[in-house]
Amino acid sequence: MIGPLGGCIVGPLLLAAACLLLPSRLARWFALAGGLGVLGCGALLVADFAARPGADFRWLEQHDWSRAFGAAFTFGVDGPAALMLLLAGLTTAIATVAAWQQSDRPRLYHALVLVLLAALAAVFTALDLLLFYVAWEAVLLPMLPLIGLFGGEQRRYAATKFFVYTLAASVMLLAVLLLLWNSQPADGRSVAVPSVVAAAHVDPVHGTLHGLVLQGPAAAPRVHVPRGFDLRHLALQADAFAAVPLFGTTLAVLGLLAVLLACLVKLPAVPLHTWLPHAHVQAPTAVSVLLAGVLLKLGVFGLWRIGLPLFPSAAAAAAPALGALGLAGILWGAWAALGQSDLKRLVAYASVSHLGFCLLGLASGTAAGIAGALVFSFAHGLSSALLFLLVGVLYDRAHHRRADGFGGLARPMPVFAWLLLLGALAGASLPALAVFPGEFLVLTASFTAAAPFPAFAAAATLSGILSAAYLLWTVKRVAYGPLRHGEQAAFGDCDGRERAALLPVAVLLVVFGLWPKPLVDAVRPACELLAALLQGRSA
Amino acid sequence: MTLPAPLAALPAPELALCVGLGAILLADLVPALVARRVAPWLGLAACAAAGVCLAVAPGDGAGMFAVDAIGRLARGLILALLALQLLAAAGDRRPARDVGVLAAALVALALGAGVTAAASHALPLWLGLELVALSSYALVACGGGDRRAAEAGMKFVLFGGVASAAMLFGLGHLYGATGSLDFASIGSGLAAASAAAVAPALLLAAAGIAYKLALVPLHGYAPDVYQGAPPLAVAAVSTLPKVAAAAALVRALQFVVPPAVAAPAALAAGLALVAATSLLFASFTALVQRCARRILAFSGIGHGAAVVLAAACAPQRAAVAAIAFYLLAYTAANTGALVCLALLERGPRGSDLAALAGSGRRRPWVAALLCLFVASLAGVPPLAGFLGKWGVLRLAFADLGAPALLAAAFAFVAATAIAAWSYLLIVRAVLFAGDSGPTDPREAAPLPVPLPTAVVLLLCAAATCGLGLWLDGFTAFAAVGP
Repeated sequence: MIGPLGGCIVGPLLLAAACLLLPSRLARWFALAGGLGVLGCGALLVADFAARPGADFRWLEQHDWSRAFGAAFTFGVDGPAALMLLLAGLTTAIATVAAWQQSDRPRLYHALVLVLLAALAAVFTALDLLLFYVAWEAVLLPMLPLIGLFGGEQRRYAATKFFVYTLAASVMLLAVLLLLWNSQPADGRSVAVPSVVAAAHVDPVHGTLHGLVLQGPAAAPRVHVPRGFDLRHLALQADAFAAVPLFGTTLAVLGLLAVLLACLVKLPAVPLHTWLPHAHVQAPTAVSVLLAGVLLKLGVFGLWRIGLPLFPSAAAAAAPALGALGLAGILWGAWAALGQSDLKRLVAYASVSHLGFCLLGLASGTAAGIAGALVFSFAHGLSSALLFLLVGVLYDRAHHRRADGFGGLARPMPVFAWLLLLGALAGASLPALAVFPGEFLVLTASFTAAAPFPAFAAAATLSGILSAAYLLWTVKRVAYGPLRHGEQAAFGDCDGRERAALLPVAVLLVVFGLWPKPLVDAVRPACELLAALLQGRSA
Repeated sequence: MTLPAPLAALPAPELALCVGLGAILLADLVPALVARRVAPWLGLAACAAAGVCLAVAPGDGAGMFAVDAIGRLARGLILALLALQLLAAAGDRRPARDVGVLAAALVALALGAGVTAAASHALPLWLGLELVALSSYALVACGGGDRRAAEAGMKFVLFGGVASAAMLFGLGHLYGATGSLDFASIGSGLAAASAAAVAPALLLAAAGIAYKLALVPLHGYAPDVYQGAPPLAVAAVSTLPKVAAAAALVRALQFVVPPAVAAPAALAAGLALVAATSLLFASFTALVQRCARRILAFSGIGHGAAVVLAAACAPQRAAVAAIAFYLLAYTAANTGALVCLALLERGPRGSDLAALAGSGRRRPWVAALLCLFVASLAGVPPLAGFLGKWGVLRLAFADLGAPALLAAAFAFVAATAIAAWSYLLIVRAVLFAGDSGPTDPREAAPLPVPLPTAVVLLLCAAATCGLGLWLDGFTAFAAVGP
């Protein structure tokens, strides 16, 4: 039987088929239903992790795939995955509402969005490396036509660049996946269980760890790990991977490099970010929301799920370089955003800057930093979705996105102006809005981490000034001052459909800004466990 | 050595195809039957009979044919592909007169491919390859007076003639060195011969197989043939010979090349080098092509090389399973893609990317299927092509102590990433480019897809989607055998 997590994948796929086969006026309702269904599962899981904090995997579900290769359709969710699942459902629902009036091939459009949702849900819930890889690549299949078919004038170029960048970056993951499998002995391997892992993951009822029977003395337990792709089992063998020599270095180092390449392109980290502005500018509003809201988080999540747990020693060694990349993204993204005249490009570069904080937090290797990165990426999903929706509202009316082509819109469009101000302030990490807690955690963690992270943190705070500058300047140019273009006086304020997409995001930004506790509680135990493992390796 | 009577020497499945071929040729003499286009259906009946024979009693045909795993798998695939292509021929809109020729050439091609795939003796190997070559020439050139088809056929004949001459020369040397034409006897005879004398003969003999797999530097004919020949001919000529050649290669490696001639590691390294060269060459060259069929041609070169990479990896059973799976995924996607292209192309040079622009608007479902097949060729999960690549790479990455294989495997991965770009060119042209050409009122409603063609497309699509997560397929294929 398929459980709720399997349902998060199979459900949207069935709905996508229904979209294609049934009358087109139903398609948007199917897409909305899919988004809300995943949103519901994510919300239940986040609430569960907030109420009963733990580093364990919940809603575990396993279906046979291939016993010969040790692969299975294994699904399970920890705190960060719950957060991402919630985000995927939320942004899909919001994007569907934003594209409610989609008139160009609506059945295909909504079906593609649902396929994307299924692939995203599979990435966030997969506990099997092969399944994870399949889902990771499958995300590209619907994204390519979503940008290439429904995008702006240069959509062909943007879609090509997006596809080539992300596919080329992640194909090396396939090599690593097979090298990991081949490096495991055919009859499995006995490994010592770190005490922190035993404390967090051992099933007290059955005395098992991830389904494996504990052996040896209770003080120093061991398990026999079979050869396969189960991510939890692979993580237990992290030390063994670090000892496999390959091309003059170790499998762990090469593995981390491949994961980094795949994740840093998605993230995107400077200098691998150049596909992002094109993709955003050419994509339709709702696809931009999905792109910024969830797809960029795949980079963060890939590092969380694969890069750090499977290759902790290599990650600890690479931490300063990763932190420097994060800092480069923070500053370069903010600096480049200052110079943009196209509003979508501006928000896209702001995303580059913000995702740099996530990388900095993950690289810091501290519990607070990792938790901050995850909470930040959730909040960035909200704030960037809000900003892209607002740019879409403008574009629908003016048919251009030039920042200097507006002025004084607060008069004809007061609701829009207020929401724009809220989005800008959230983007600039104003306290009491949802982006702030994550950024604060990342910065304080970096200040307390080993050198050179305090220096990175000090430099990263500069972005506070830059982001306030580019966002508030934008608000001023667009919404305030005299009405510079006469015809814009006739612009109607946000209509009911636009408010239905905008207001939930705005409300959540405020709610989680004032009350970030459930988000932080949901991810904290898992982050503490990973930080303990990382610090055990670097010491 | 006495030569047995030709027909008695054939294994049962090939005999069934032979009978079918005769029936088609006879039916071609009766105008009433020609007008009713019975030839493809006769071929299908023969194909079904051959399938039953293969499952029940493959037979070793007086000892000149092997009954082994790769032979069974390859011949099964050959019959399946023949059935698909006969179906497509039944749906083809060409004059009834040509359908008989097409069906006869297809059955002859499958017959030759089956003989090649099963041969454990140099004589049927060479005869099978020659039959494959002759029927391929007929298929490529029977485009009905098209100059491009004629040119493609001519290039094909010239390249093919040189390759088969080289192969015959090499086989002659092998006979001279060992006094035998049987693979097993050649193998044991070679063990005593000097490596310096034998290596050139083996290389020459391998040329015929390399030509069929279109490995660099014997690939030159492929792009022109793909571009110039009728699409159904391309679908046949690009799949059946590859399957046959792959089976022959695996069996030759099994029997003929003894450790005395080449240490296993050195042989593997040599094959890996050949594979990596072809893979990288094909992926880079495909990037600059401006014709969808030429892109598929370079894709075919790369996929042939991937088979060689798998063959370079011991152990035998796993390699056979990986090759069978790879060929299954490749041929399904390749056949589907070419049939789709045939439906989308309009007029001369119709497969140029510029000419394909906007065809997605005219035939959205066919265009979507073409993109599906192309994505599978590119190896995007969760499609069959991905798992095919996965199987080959799993073997190539198996031995962390074999740097040549590891390097070739990384070359394969890199080539995959590069080639994805060229496949994207097709997707871009078909789906994303607007229809800028003049709209012809006749083309506003394209002719409906014939039912047999639709069935072919659906079968290919089902295989492409359904096999993509069938990991246990490798176990199942590895369990096939005597």
